[in-house]
Amino acid sequence: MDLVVDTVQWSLLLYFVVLNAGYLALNVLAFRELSRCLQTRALETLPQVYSGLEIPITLIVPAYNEQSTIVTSIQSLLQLNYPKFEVLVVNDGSRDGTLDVMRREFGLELVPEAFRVRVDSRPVGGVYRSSTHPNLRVIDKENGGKADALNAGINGARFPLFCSLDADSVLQRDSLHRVVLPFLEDSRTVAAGGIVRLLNGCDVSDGFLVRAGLPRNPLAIIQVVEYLRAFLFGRLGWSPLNAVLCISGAFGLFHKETVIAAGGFRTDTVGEDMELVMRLHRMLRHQGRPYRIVFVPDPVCWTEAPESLRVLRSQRVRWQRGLAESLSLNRQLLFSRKGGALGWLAFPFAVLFEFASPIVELGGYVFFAVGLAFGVVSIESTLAFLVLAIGIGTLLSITGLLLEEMAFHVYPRVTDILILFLAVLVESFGYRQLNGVWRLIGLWQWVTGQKAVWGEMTRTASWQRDPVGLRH
Amino acid sequence: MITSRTVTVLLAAVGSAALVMASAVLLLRALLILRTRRQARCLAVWEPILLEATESGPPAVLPRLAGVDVMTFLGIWNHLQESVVGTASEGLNEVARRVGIPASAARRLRYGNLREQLTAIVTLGQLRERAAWAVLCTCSRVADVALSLAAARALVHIDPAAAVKHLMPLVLARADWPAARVATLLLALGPDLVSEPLAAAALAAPPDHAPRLIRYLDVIHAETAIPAVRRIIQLTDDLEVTTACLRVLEDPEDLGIVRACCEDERWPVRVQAAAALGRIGLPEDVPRLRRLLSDAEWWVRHRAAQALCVVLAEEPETLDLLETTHYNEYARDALTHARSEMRPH
Repeated sequence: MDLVVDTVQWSLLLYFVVLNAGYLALNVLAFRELSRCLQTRALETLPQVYSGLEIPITLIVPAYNEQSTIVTSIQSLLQLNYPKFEVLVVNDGSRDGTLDVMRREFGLELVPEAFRVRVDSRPVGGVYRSSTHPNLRVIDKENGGKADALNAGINGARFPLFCSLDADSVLQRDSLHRVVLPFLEDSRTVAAGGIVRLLNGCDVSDGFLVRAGLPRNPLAIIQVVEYLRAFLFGRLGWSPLNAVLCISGAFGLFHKETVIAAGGFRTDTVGEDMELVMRLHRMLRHQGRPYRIVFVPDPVCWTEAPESLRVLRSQRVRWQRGLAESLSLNRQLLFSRKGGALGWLAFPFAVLFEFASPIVELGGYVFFAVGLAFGVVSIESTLAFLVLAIGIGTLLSITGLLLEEMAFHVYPRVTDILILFLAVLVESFGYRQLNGVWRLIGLWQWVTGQKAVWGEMTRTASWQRDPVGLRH
Repeated sequence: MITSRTVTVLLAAVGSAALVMASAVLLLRALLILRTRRQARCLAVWEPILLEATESGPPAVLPRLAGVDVMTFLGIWNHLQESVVGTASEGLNEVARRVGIPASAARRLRYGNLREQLTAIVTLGQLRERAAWAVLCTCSRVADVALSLAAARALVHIDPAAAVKHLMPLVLARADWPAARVATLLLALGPDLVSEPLAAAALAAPPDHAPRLIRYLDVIHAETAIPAVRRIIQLTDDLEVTTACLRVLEDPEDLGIVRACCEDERWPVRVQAAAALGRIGLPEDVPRLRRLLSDAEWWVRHRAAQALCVVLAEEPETLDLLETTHYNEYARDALTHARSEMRPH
């Protein structure tokens, strides 16, 4: 019995040492990657001359019941600074007036397009082009979900690169210019993602960010910290190793033919963005084809974070489930012979420290609480566990803040920093544990094969208040 | 065995690290605030002067530029340089020389970090600083893509004719230079300077390099290089080279070559051949395009349909007949699609 308790105890402690060391190493890698990009910014801020060899891009915007925001979203996308791109909205069987609103605002006309189906999707009812904006088209189709809508968009895309977007993603005018750079610099690039930041608390005008700010909602503030630690620098660290496992569906740029060869987005998973990236890795490594999937260390997309526990819960349950599904569907990558850093580092890291972490962490709390109550574990061991699980986690969050301050310093006020420090503490004591419970629920749903639902994201869109008054 | 001492050490280590990093965050923020204020003060002084210099020349008396403000100054100076031409640019250059920028840039190029080096290179190019020619040539040959390209661009600014001689071998050899950036370099040099050497290089290039060079010829609209492209397409059997050449051909003299490519067994070649017929095709090419309209490959059908719309632009009734009576359903769809695209908005 003592042996069992000791083994579990030491295993838990070792787990958290390795987990935190891993994240720390990722932060170091991320910072090295970031440093160079920050240095070359000197040239990127100068006015750009376009040569005509910039790769044209199709922006695919799946839209479902977006009648109140779709016009603004499209208008802002049409103003992006890039020499050649098209906006392809996929109306995914909306039950509100999404299509009618677009018809009215953009003079949509039905065109007899010879629609080429290369990736399966639900039937397309019609393709419209805008009489006012030559580079805007709309595909109207039966409802099939976001992944299905993206697949229909891939079929209709005219250009060699496509960008998957959420309808409420807010880009910067030079977002395409930044995210296409890896493709221009290296023809092996098949996918690139940019850093997604939280829109809550920011000011947006005419669909573009004019001022970054910290959210007012406490839940959103905590998510800022979380994003910095886990999503920002955590993912960026894998990029130089060509081991990025996920490019956010909110904004990702892909080589169309490669995605078609991989079969497009799967529609039977809630983590279709992550699953596609893993499948691309698997396919290309299997083929022995040189490739790159990279992260652009620039904030190029802003998206709204949930501000209520109910919506946040739904999101985190879905994310964990999506992670489990993606890892399971691509498990051949794990320790595969051709896996490289992806198969031998990133994938095992994701399995051990993202997939399994809610089980281990919550299991650890239960183990030490029960053990302490029954006197089989010492108070010192329990404290050591708490220091490793919570203390070092807090340290990592502060590291995220430090890297943010060194690289981007997006939040302008000193009080913002102080609020973020407070959020770091709250995140570690309560929020993280609650998140762990939700992630456990996501795992349970995956294990039991419950039907996945996206749920409704209640968008407050508080950032859409135009500072100079209502526009419509 | 975990003792209370171990826990204390752990806690102290984590706590200290957290405190140090938190302090570092606050320190960085304080430095950022100071830096931002300094930059704002610098811009408040120099922006009006530089704007005046672009319009009516620099003022007689210029304030002193502190070393710590040089990068801020160069930020706005280079931005304005990219936005103006002619005498406005000369005005900016005069201001820069009078405040000692050439020496400052040379120093930063030698001893600065990557950001300073890049800024220095761009500055020396805008200043047309002959004295920096040798060091810029050296920079254009370094492995770092950002540095080498920036140096190449600076050389083009300083002396285009001399830059061509130095850069052409690099354009050929540097497959890691993004094509879009090289194309802007070549556009800046102009077709008169680069057509011949580029065409000669394309003729001599191996199949994996030739398509890139031919695309550059297309971008700079090097009509004088067309004979070279004709020769290349006749000599090669490489898919990428052939399609790259077809993209460039726009002269009715090349119809023979294009027509032959319509029968190529490789569909990318047929696509480009159909597209070329859309540019130079004649009514006698209609039967050829009709055959391509029922090609197995979607892109061939699409380009053939577009080409037919151009070639038969004066014969809409012929297009109507084709659209309704062609035996192949996919062909009819392609033509309907192409005609709807051609209709004005």
